[in-house]
Amino acid sequence: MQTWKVKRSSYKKTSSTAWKRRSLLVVVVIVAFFGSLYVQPALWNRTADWVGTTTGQDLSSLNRDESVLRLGLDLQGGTHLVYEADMSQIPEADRITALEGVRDVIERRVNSFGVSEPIVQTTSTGDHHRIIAELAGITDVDEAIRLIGETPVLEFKEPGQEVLRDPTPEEQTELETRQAADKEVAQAALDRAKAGEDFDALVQEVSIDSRKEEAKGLIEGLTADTPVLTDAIASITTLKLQPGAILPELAETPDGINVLKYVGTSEAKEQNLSHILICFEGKTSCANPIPALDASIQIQDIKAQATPENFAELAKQHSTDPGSAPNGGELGWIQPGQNVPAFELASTALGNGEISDVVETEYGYHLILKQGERTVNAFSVQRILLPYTTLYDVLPDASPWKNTELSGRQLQRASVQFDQQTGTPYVAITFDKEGGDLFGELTSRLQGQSIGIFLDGTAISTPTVNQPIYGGNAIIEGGFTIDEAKLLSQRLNAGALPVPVELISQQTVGPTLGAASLDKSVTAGLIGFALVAFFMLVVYRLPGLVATLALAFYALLNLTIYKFFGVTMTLSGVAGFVLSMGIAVDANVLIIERFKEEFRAGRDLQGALDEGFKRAWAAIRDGNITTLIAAAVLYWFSTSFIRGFALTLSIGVLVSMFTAIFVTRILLKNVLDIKALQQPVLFAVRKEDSDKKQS
Amino acid sequence: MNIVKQRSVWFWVSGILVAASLLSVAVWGLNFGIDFTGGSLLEVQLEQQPQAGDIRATLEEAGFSGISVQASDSSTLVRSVSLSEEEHLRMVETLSTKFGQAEELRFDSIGPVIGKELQTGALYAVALTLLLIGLYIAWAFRKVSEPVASWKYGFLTIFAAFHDVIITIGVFSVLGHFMGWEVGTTFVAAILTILGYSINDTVVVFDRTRENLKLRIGETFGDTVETSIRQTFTRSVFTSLTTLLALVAIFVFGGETTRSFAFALIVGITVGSYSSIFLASTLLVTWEEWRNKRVRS
Repeated sequence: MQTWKVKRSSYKKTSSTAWKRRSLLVVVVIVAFFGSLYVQPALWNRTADWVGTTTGQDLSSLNRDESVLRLGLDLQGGTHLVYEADMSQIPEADRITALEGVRDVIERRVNSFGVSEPIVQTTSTGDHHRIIAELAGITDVDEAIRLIGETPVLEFKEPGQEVLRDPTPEEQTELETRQAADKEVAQAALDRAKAGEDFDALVQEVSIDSRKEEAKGLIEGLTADTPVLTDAIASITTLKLQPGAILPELAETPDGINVLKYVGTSEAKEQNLSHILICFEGKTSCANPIPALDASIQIQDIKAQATPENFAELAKQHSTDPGSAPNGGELGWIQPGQNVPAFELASTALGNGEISDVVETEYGYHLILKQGERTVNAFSVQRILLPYTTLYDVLPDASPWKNTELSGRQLQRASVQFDQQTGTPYVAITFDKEGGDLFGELTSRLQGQSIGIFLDGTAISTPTVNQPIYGGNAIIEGGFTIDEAKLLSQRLNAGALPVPVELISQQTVGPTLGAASLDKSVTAGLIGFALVAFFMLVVYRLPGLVATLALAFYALLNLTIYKFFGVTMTLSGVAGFVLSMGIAVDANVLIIERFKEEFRAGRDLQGALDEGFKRAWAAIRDGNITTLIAAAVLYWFSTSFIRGFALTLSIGVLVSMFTAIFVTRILLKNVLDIKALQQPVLFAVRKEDSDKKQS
Repeated sequence: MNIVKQRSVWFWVSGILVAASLLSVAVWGLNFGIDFTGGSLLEVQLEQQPQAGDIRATLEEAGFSGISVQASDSSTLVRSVSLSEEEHLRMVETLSTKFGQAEELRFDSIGPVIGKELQTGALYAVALTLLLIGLYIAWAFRKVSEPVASWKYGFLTIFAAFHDVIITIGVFSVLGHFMGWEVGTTFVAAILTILGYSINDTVVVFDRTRENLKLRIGETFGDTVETSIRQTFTRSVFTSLTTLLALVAIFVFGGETTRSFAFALIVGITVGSYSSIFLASTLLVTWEEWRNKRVRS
């Protein structure tokens, strides 16, 4: 009876906070309920369905994605790749930037491969600059490695002056001999053409022109001003050739030696134009996009003050066309068909010295000033292109092409498009501001000559430049199939690696092994939980049951945290989690042992409990902090496979301090409020102990 | 049984274990895995299940050298020097041409540079952990400086942890020599965890000693420590037991990859539990008595 009194008095003392204990218990239960719905979306969805069918409302919008946790690559299969970047050619100060460039490129390549949530990171220690790529759930690792490692280098070259040395006399002789031989071959073709053989058939048979399939060697729009084939064009006029006639002389061009047939003359109206461009958001190759409305106001404003006299000045000030603005908006003499339709329509309608209304094209708003118009003869010829040996063919180290500053680096994007007439695919590319300027400068310098587009050191297209191209757009026609064009544009979009990389480590887990590991991990986790729970129940009875409940809450809280913060579960991470369950009950063991000791020392159950919690805290804190220190060090020093372990262990230790102390305490206190449960035997404290207390 | 009085027994047990471990490491060394030495490990499942010798012969014929093959019912492990991606593909192709459909379960290839770095990284990590934990313990015990200076608790805690780690390494040296168990980065993770965890137990005992010193329990310092050990004995054993139960689950059911990791932890935590009960506190008594003798004389 005395015992009862003691208990009663202590109970009274704490009854003022009884409602607090109850409400905390309710909080714990609610958190556990929603936590399990969060961790197990399937459960949530089924509950929502059930509520929906019962109440007759459509709750399907509440349904959530049923994926549980994000799995690491060792559990779903995947690969972990480490690349070393070769920085020997890069100045010290630029290496970090270069490495980031490599990462961006690899990231884009990986993304095009369709891996879910790939991780691409850089690490730099001392002289080592590395990229780590983690591709989880990837099926074709070999293909991914090939794709990441390749180095597409896009280069634009101009016809070569890049001779590394002067030719030796022998080489000079060889050059002359081979040129003579080339001329003989060409002469033979010319003779056959003159003899009246079908010219189209001859083109098919001997021409080396890469575009002979589509155009049959036709070159249109040649005027007296065109810098290529100038002599040949002049001879058409002087010899008064009739359409269909074969030109009597061979003509040289940068790409070879030509047999020409005069096809015809048409009259072309050339216009001498200037323009002011205001580009804005959404327009092609706009360097500094402004809202369309602002652009509209600006161009109207310019229109209001523009006269033929101040037009050049206004263009210099306002025009966003990088090619023409510096020289007062002048585009020079333009032949029909060289401009976009809307622009051409407007310019043709203008009289000399007139300024157009605002014209909108794909580049933005234009004002056009027509300064003159003239009629010129535009000649069309058909050609058979034959090889002509140059110095560059003779010199072993010489390339017929010279590098320009323009390369894939200035590329903004590439896309596959189709020729509207022939339907052949080509790759359209857009340069950034710098690239657009360079390309404009290059094409204006190389009018009538070829420009070489090289991919990985091989020429894929060598188009002839008909007129300067400003605005930063270009096309690559290389006789592609659709797939080739797609691949090329993809590779160009991904960009070239700024520095070479080498694969120095790979760890790949096949999906079969991953799935098996996942299975085993889950089994190990469940059995680990069961073993610990069993042990606690047998040894500690009622407090053991409470500790087990707290442990279940602990496991739930951990999973919730993993899910909420997107912690990737790896094999080692699961091991860390299971281990942390073993550690989590340690705190309960410490508390319960201490509680039993205090009980034996003569305290009642409530008092012993409070004392147990109070006294065990220092040991729990110290023990957990040392584990945390070890886990933190491990996290900093280890690779991603072990990191999962360090992370889940750390989370586990932190969460366990909360659940083992706070949650266990709430549960135990509420349990002690129930009189029927206030039996020492349920707490595994021996009868003699409590008897002793009474004496 | 008086644990403190019989301490020479524990000193002998520990001394012999540590000496044997050091000897084993000196003689046999550790069987380092490819993440430390650099190299490649290919695990494949072959349609036909050929003998290890056949696989070896086939691969050697194809020009691969320095390979070792380990075949089991379910899969085949091929270890070799670090392979490039081309060599890797060629190896898989060679195997599938000869032995039918080869399913690649796992392929690791670690360059020698990375291996070196992981090795030094591991050493740094262990040293740093010891240092940080030592500092923390000295700080946590800073308020009790009578009669035992707080740094002595810290030192002995670290000393006991060192003892646990050396014995664990010794066990793996033996396992490496006789069973081919490898020591890699996961082993380092296990060692660090043992360092962090086994200290837990030592802290519990020292904590109680600290408390009992304040309450002036026991006639001599040795008695105080003996009482503390007895009072904390059950909880020291039980906390380790719960953790060991979780580890046994991983060891038995967790699969091949985490097996040696779990085993290292099982060894380390068992030894750690022993050392915190029988070694750390008894060393504290010996130290104090030795000091007192010196002071008196």
